[in-house]
Amino acid sequence: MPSCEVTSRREFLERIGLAGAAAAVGGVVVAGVPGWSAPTGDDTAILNFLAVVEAAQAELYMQADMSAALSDDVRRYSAVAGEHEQKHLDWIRETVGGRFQEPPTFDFAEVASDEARFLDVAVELEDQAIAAYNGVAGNLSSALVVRAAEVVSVEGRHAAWIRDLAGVAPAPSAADPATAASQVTAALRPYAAGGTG
Amino acid sequence: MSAANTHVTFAEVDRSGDFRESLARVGGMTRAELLGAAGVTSAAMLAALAEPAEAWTGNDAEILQFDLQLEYLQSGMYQEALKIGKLSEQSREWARVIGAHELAHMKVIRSLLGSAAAKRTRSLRPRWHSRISRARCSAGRRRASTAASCARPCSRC
Repeated sequence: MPSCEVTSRREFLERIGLAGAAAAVGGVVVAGVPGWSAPTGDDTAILNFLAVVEAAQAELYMQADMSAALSDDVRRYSAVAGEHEQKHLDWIRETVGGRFQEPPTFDFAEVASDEARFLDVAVELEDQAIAAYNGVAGNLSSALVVRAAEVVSVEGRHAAWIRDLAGVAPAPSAADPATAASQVTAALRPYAAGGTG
Repeated sequence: MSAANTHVTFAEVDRSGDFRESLARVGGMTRAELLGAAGVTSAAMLAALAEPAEAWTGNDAEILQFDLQLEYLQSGMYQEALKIGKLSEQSREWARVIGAHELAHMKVIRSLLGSAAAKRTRSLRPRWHSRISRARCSAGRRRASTAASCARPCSRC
């Protein structure tokens, strides 16, 4: 039911402190991408949204580090990627300063207890991160676009690496899609700690 | 294959100067600065690439022309490697997929630039060919089995 979906998404966004970003996600329709909305030109709202994506990834890899269920190759990947995600998060925190919103808590303990499941979720999160950065790029101020480009290319390297470990095409297409912030948060929602809302 | 065999300079693959000219435009340099002094072109190009983005003076079209030259360079390398046909099965698959992506990027940029898009010059590709051949021949000589065929000049260069 659409009304339930909207209500629960709104609740989720509020719970994870994304209500501001969700409001900003409102009406701007990007030319040439039907039905696609992007955050407005508020760097802070965009970066706080990207912090949620980075926090989810950082937590996934942190729990992989504590898991006994993963192979050496996957653990090696997680250690490298996890350090990168933490640095991305630190960069966002420093850049936003006093207006930084603490990202929600995620729980990947169950995911990290099974290698096949972990590979699926890691591929999903890396792809979502790329789509999230691509989706907001046009609305960041130009100085931040350059910094974000330096980050999203690393997410692309992670995606290719984990895709290879998962046995799926490392570079599935010539261009990666951009995704609306609301779709990215919806994809992350099942992993929020304390239930799926 | 040693690093020396596979190290490629821009001057070798950019014999026409198209790539360096497009870089000169976006890097705020003159063509003469990049092409004038033989032997320093790679260093000059690295210096230009190291400039912060703010220093770049190119407009969208000039930047896209530079990107187009990059895509020509990349797609040319993969096409040539596939044509030579000496890659392992795994490398061939990679070259096929990545090469197709570079071609798609090239087409997008060409469509954005329209009739202003710089043509792909043939001079890029033979040099890749000779470079790849030479690397292969060096490996062959070490095996001492294909030395004779390696001594033959490349018919396409």
